[in-house]
Amino acid sequence: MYDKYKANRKGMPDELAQQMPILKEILKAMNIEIIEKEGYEADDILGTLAKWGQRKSLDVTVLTGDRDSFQLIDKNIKVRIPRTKMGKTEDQDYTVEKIEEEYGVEPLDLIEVKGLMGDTSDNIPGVPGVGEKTAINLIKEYKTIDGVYENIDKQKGKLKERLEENKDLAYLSRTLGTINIDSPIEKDLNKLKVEEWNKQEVLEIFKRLKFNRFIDRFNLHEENNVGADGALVCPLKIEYKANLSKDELQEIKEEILLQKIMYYYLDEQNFIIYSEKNNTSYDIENLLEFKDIFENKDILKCSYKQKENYILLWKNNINAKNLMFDVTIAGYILNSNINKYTLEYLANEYLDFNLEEYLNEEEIKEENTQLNLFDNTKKENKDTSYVYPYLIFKLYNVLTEKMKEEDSIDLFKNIEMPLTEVLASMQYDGIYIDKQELLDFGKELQERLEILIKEIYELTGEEFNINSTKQLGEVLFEKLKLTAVKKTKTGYSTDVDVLEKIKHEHPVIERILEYRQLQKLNSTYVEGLIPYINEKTGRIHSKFHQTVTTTGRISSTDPNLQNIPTRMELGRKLRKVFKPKEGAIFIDADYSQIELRVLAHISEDKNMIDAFNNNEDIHAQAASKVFNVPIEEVTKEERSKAKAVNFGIVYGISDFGLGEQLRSIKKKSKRIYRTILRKI
Amino acid sequence: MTNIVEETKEKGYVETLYHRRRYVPELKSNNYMVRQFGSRVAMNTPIQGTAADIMKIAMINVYNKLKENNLKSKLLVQVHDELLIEATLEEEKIVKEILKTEMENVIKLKVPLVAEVSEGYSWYEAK
Repeated sequence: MYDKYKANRKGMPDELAQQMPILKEILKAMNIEIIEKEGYEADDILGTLAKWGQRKSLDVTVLTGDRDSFQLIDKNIKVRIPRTKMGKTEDQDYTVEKIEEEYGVEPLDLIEVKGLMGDTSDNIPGVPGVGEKTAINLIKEYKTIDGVYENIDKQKGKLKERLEENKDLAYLSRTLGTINIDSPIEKDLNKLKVEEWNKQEVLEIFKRLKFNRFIDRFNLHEENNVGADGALVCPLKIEYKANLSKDELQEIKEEILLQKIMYYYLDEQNFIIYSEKNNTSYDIENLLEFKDIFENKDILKCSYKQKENYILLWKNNINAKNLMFDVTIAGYILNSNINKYTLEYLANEYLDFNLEEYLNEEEIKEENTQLNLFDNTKKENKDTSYVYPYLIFKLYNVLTEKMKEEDSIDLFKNIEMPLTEVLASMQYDGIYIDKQELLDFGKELQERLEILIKEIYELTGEEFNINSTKQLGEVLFEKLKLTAVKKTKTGYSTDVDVLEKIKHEHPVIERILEYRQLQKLNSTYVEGLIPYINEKTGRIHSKFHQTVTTTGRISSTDPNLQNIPTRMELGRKLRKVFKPKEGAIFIDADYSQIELRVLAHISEDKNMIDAFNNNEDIHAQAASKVFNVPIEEVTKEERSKAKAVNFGIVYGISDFGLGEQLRSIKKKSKRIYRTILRKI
Repeated sequence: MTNIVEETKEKGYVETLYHRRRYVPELKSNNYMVRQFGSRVAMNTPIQGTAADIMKIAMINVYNKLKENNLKSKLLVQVHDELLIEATLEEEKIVKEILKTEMENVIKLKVPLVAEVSEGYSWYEAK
């Protein structure tokens, strides 16, 4: 009919399409009828059913998110549409009256309106240049598109011209925009009736999909609480005890000494130990009571965020030992692609336990139980954290088994867990920064920035706000007519990639790039660093993380030391303000080409191995092989190409990126890449 | 190298020398660009990840050696392939030795591991 119709729709995105079979499975288990028909749109089916329902004297409500469906509204047919208002989603019912109030026309007239104005999201063209306002006014006056054209002489100027020129489009658009209310589908009222759900089936699906919130909302909990794989859906009720007597504390310690393991949760406010024997969480008021346990190297400590534990314990003069099971790190070892290894996440993923639900249930139970006076005083301070050590206890067993299965228990025990103490110590000690020198460095940056600003103004012949992407875009691409590589919604893109590409078109680009780098340096590492200088120690205590990167590298924040720029001389100079304390000296050790060495080892490439073993230049050696020249005749250019390729493999730069880096012909670099890959 | 992509796709994950796993669901995507990204991940994770493992072991060994020898010097920073120690002047020599020995002897690969050690009165000088 109209080829371009719905050309804008690229079919469902993968992520949505994948969900459709699941949705159908759920609806089936809920005994909700699904009606689909090849060649008909959902709108058509909804329309057909709505009108059919109306004829059967039913009270019809169409639930949809699509305003196109407004044309279906009629006596006994209303449309219920979700609306987002101030971040809240509300339903809004549209009736004939509501449509008339909002649009000033009757629902059916909306088809005519759409014929004139079109609909970009559906690629319905409409009459070019006619928007909603004009279209509605025309239909108000003449009722239909026919009416508009019968009275075309009453229009004048541009509008008349447009309407006359696009009469075909108007009628076509009306046809395209009309919902088919006569689709050939089966209409059986009995089948459509709401039935009881097949609760067991729905529950199984929800459990499989981990839709715990839904299980709760639809109250699908089973009588027995053991899940399909034996994992705990909902644990026993955990006892909670605070204000412990000397005897009670002694008893807890004895159990720990006997079991040689302590499950606990520790943060600035809480120290809670879980006892398996008594199924009780004990709220310990004074951390120091357990100094001997923490310092006993024979007792395995099992908890959450042990790096922070170390720091807290050290601050309390507790020289903690054998903090060797951190559930967050175990979670990271099992899957490094997760954002945050919270107890909620870990419990959900590995214990099939929803903390929020559990706590809600607890609350209800407690409300229903008459507590005696003594209990009341005890529960005063109880918050959610009393469940944590219990979860840690459960996770300890499950996660250990999983790591054994996956053969990563050694990595956990011998590398990650011992590393936690090292990182804690680095964070605790911090590094001294010469504040005055940092401020001086900031001044130096400011001076260089001012020179750059002047130069940029001179080179462009205009004073403008360099920080404004809009103004910068206009100067570069309109005034200087440089190649505009990318456009964004708001104007020209001036991001680094774009500027790098047009670097050789005009000398100003290089200065803009430097300007930005220096400004970043100044704001992130001069102004940004100052607040991190600890007033007591005069040092910055960066936080080191071992559960962030997907590759296994360590990262740091507050501030991030990893990305202090080292390529620019001025960036390197920033390192001058990091100094050893009185009577000390810095010793720095750098692995030489560690990744290439690992590559040589893993790939078992003889040439690379020989080069490293003979202490040869690895890149020159690669170039010699690829370009088939003796190693002493390798040119600088050939060497740098081979080097880029070597690093391309290590860092996974695509051959496209590689080509750009070399600023050489794409084909050639691709060939080199292939040759090297083959040789490996 | 192409084998590793196939292997990763089949298993769903890729590993370092020390059995650090990284799942690569990207390899099963319907999107070409995402799949390409997945192949690169499959190729470079064993390299980058193993290098990271080696660095971590070096850190642990250096830290323990400093402790064992009752030294006052402290490991302060790890960035990229680099370690920075604040050493008391009298411990300078032994700390240098420890750093070099521990870093270079983490594991015996088919090629030597090499650590370059230098010192200075600022991080800039020491590098």
